[in-house]
Amino acid sequence: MKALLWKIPLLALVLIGCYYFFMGQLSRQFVNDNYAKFTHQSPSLIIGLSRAHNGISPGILDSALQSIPHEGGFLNFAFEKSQSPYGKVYLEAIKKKVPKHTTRGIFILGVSPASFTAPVRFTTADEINKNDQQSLVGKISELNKNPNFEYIRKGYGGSLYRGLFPHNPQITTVFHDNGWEEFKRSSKNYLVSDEDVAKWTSQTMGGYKRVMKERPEVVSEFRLKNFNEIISFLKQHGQVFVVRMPIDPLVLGMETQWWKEFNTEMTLISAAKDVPYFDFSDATQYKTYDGSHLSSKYAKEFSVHLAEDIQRYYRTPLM
Amino acid sequence: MLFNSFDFLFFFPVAVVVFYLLKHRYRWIWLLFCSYFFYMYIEPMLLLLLWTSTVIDYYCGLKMEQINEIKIRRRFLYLSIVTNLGLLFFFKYFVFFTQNAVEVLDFFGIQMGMAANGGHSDYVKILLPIGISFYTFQTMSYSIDVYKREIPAERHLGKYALFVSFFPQLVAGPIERTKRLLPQFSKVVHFDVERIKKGIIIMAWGFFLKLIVADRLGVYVDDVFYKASDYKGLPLLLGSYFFAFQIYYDFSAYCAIAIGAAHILGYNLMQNFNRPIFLNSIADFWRKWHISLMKWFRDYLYIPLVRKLKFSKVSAMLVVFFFNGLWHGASWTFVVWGVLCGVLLIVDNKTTPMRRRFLNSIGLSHKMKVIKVLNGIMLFTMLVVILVFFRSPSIGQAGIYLNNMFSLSSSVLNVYHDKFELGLSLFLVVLVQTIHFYKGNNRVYELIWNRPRWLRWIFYFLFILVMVLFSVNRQNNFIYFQF
Repeated sequence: MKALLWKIPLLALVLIGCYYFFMGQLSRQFVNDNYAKFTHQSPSLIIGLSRAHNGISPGILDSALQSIPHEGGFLNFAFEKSQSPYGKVYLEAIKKKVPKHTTRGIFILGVSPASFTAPVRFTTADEINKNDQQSLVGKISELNKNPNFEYIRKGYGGSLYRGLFPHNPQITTVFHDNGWEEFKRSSKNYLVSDEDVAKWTSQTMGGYKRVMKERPEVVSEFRLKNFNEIISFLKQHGQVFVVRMPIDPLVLGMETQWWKEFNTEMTLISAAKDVPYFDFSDATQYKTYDGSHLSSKYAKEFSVHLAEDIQRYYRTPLM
Repeated sequence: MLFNSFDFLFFFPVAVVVFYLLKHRYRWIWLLFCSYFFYMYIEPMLLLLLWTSTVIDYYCGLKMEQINEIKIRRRFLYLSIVTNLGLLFFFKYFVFFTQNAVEVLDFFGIQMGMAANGGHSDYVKILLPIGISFYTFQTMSYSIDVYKREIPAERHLGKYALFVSFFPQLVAGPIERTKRLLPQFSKVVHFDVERIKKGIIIMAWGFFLKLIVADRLGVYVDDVFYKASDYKGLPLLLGSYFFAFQIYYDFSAYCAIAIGAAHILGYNLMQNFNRPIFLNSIADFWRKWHISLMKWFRDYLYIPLVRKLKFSKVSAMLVVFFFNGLWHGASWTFVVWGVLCGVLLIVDNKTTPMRRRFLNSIGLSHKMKVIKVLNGIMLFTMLVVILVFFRSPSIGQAGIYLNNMFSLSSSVLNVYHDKFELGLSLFLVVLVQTIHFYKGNNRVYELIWNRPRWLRWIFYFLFILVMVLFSVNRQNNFIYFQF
């Protein structure tokens, strides 16, 4: 019995020691697409869903906005739909991301109908919030730690041996330290053809239709209320811009059909909160690779365009 | 609480230490407390259901034993069965049947209030109590056995409650029989280091199967089933093979952890698998797969159907497999899967003589090893194809999957986009099958049992290293938790 009493704690210690050692190893390599968003605070943020995650380059904004008096070092803190719709969970995460002393940050809030919807089966704010707590942003309490072992435990989803043999299995995506996921249409061994884009766009639309049929969602007052609260909070720390990202006209058509007054709603909220609203949804010069997300070239061009509009706003804030 | 969670790593050692510190007569109280805590950890309100089932079956059991008049005893049996099936029906199948009824009425132009509201009234919010399919079947078997006077009724409510809720097997089985498990709670359990070591090794094997093998295969499976329309041919075939192995390892991992945990506490749970992949026939597969459930269906459904209700064996088999499908979930995909399994079993049974004659006619014998292996591969592949219905979210999606799977053109095979991960997955499947081939599902601990100390320690450290480095960090639920 005595032998068992020292063997088990010894093996448990070895297990825990190994676990933390290899988590440490991994954290020094590439972890995954969202890890960089959970390692540090930033006075300027890009917030929203996957369109902002893919479509706005923090690096370009940083270099293009140098002439504007602001606290730079943008971080793309946008995620895919299930992880960061506007809500209490996202609001609390954003509060942790912005340093308390920040007063001149720039905050870009990407909006789309999906940012404000919730499954129809959730009829109360509590139910929506409980569901949001299961998301990546909700599960992880430590948002600004490097290395972030909590993230690796709860959000990594792979094996720790990758810390010993670092490699990035993705073919066309590049994950940046500032949180931006850049999607390239061509890489060393891979080329996304126009046929691929057409197929993916059609799949995106089919996917939306299927979701609306099988797991319908409705506009949530809870999400709109929290969106307002996010704007109010961020205004204390700098300038807020509400931005609707460019998308494929076919997808835009679907969204408009589904929520006709979306732009009006966003205009009203922005006006009430005294923040500018930039609607790029019909900016067809910026092409997506799947109907919804900008590919690298257009994301860069769009980021420059957005920076120019921000600069223009700073020169003439009443525009 | 999940076995593969950090919470369990703290909970279980405390449960074991306190258990052995207590005197025998208090241990059942501690185990019952632990079992309820384990269950409440998921959703406290679910305990009410467990109590309802426990108290009614306990009461019915006592009454059936006291009363000799068959008619009255039968009434108590019906009360027990109706209560258990009622709970199961309401919590697991009510929404399914209601939605189907609404759709049928809608087809005939009759609008229901719920449908008019978009079908999203409160009835949709019924929460599926975890483990309900397992513990209701276990308690029903108790009532039926007491009714048939095969076992005496349990007079100790606490021990009976522990039989219903014993935490290692509460949420996903094995579905134990009263005769096997209940008397064990009255026996004095001594602290036995060798038994505890053996239990730890069995649990460790379960964690290996779950965290390294099943969850790894799940990454591939999730991708191909989610994007079935993007792939053609081989990746989908490989995806369905992987799913078969995933569900096998996932469930047998749960069972290994349950058996190992019970073993540490001094109790023996039944084996739920016996090398099902090495099959001679479809019937052989079902004798080796989810043994506790299939035995339950055999004893409490198949035999009464054939002996008392005079069903033919074929129709009784179809009924059993229909319910086997429905037991797994309230969805047409499970029903179709179940019925197809039944059909395959019958076809295999009926065509066996014909196939043997054919083999003889070309100078071969079904007893030849190579023929046995080929036959096993063929039958397993058929089960794998049918399993697509089990995994798909709808019949339509299963149709798309199967249609694309049998498409001649093939897209990229390796959906991981990572040769090492694909190679590792294939290697692990072969490794586990080799171990199962030589050691069966129940003697895997022999790999290190009674080896020299230095070899055991090398193995322990190697195991820790492998678990840390190669576990898939997804904290996935066990698949059978949803049933």
